[in-house]
Amino acid sequence: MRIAVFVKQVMDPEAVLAFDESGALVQNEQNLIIDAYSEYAVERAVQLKEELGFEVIAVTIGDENSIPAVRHALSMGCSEAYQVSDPDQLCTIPELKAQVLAAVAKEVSADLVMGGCMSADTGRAQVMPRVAEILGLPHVNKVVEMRLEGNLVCTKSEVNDGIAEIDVQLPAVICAQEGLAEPRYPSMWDIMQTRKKTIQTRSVNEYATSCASTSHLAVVLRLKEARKSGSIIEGETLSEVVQKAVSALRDEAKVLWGA
Amino acid sequence: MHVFNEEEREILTAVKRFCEDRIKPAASAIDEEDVFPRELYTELGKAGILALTAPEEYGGLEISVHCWLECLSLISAASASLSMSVTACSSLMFLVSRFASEELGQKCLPKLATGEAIMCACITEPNAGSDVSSIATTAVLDGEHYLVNGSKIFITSGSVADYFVIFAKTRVGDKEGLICLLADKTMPGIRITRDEKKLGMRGSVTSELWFEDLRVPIDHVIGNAGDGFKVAYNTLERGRLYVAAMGLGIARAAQEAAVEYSKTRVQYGKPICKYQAIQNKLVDMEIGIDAGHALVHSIAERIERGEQTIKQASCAKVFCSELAERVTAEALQVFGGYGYCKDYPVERYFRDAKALPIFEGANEVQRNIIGKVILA
Repeated sequence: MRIAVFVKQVMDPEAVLAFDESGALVQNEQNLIIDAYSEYAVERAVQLKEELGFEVIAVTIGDENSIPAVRHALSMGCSEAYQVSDPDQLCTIPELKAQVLAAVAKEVSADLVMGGCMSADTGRAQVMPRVAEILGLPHVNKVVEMRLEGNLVCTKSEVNDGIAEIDVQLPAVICAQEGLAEPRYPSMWDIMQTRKKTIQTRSVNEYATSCASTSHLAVVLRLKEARKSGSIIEGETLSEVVQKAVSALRDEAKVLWGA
Repeated sequence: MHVFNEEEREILTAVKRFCEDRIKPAASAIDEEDVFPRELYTELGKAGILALTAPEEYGGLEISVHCWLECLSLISAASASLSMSVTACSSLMFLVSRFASEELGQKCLPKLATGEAIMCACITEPNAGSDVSSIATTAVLDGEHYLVNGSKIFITSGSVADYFVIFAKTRVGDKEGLICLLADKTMPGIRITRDEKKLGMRGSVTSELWFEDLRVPIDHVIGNAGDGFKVAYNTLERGRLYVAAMGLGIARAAQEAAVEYSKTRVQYGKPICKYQAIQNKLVDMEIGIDAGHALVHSIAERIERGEQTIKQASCAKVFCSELAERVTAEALQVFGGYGYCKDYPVERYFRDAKALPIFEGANEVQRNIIGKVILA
């Protein structure tokens, strides 16, 4: 059995964000790390490989900064790695990215497709459900537990106020939520060993069809304005504090009338 | 300036992550409890971090000196006390791989590289520390063994060690000289008498040891009998550079904490980082750390070229250890009253930094070494 795991390189959540003059996020190899949600998926896939002897293929899309993400997945124990080279970052559009990843999943004959339920940077949560749609496969989102029973993937998935137990037939698409598996630390020996493995590279042009129809683009990115500081209303008695609060709401905030 | 290659960057990313996820959250408890974190040390070994400097034939990964210095800085920034044990271990791995026989290397290096075993250097005595020539512990040849007697103090990792690298006085022909021997804890005659209670570096044990008729086989001599000075000085030279890297790590942690705090602490209506008096402190810290960084990597460059760095290692040790003292004191000042309390890690950085100008050869002795070279 073959598992394709999609991984993404994202801005380190701890890194200080900076934007260039055009409003684009400044990314460099220093402030990028593997996406945490992708990593949960990789870990569970590698566990399945160790338990049941599957093949696990890590796949990423992006410019050369995306390569450390698949290298990291290899260091964690994936069997093979693919990078779909996208130097112009066309695949920041979820629709296009899903088309490409679905094509790769087909090409590597994946029986199970895994990835993060969203990415820690954009948080759009679009790619994996789109991949499932394109491939015509069942998918389970926000999976916190999964096991295989023959041809069945038995999952526990996070829903609003609880957990839904959902079983799907293989082939299927599984989206990892935090808690699915505790990612291992690849040892230094694993990291050095991974250097000797080849990452298979494809061009995005080999897969991309069209992204013009319904695509949407991020025009500009900027930080949220800092929250203005609040004020503490003080007074000798409760009624004095209430009076002052009502005055402030009526005269300054102008959200009360006639009080 | 050294530019890290892709492989080195990957290693540094992995070490940084380990420090952030595993060491940093434990650092305060290690300090508070003052107990050696054996489990965490073993984890470091399993992650391959202790193997980074060991030769490949002993299961190591033999990374560049540049890269190892950065690793030490990262570990020191997370927990200086844990990095004391790591630094001691890596200096000794260097000593064993350079001066010991292959058999001795095979006996201990693979275990040291995986964190299964810990090694300590037994040099300092009540009347000999920086002055190695005053060592009073004796090693007397007795058939196929050396009989070792004497006491050692301030031994990093002493009470948790599996292997002991002992420096002792011996007779070589009709002359007196220094010998370096490898003992292990299964040999009868090693007594741990106590662990010191220290101001900082708590959790890194500092022990007092006694050797009473300890019988060390003659094939456990590191280098040759009488070569002890050469072995000690070569190792101390490397160790001093490692201490400089530790100083940079502690200084960086303190500076980053001070920068962050100064942005959030508001006085007279604005964050204190807007005041020039505070800004100047932060800037002086930055200048010092950048200068120290350039200094240690220039020495790493010389080492990679195979050059001697006795004077330079002493310079770096003095500069970076005193920088760490200064930066942590100023960072504590930026934090004001909060810095003096245990709610923030800056007081720990301050206490830990105080050890650096003292151990691995006091800074006064380092200045003597530098003076001797420039006045020769």
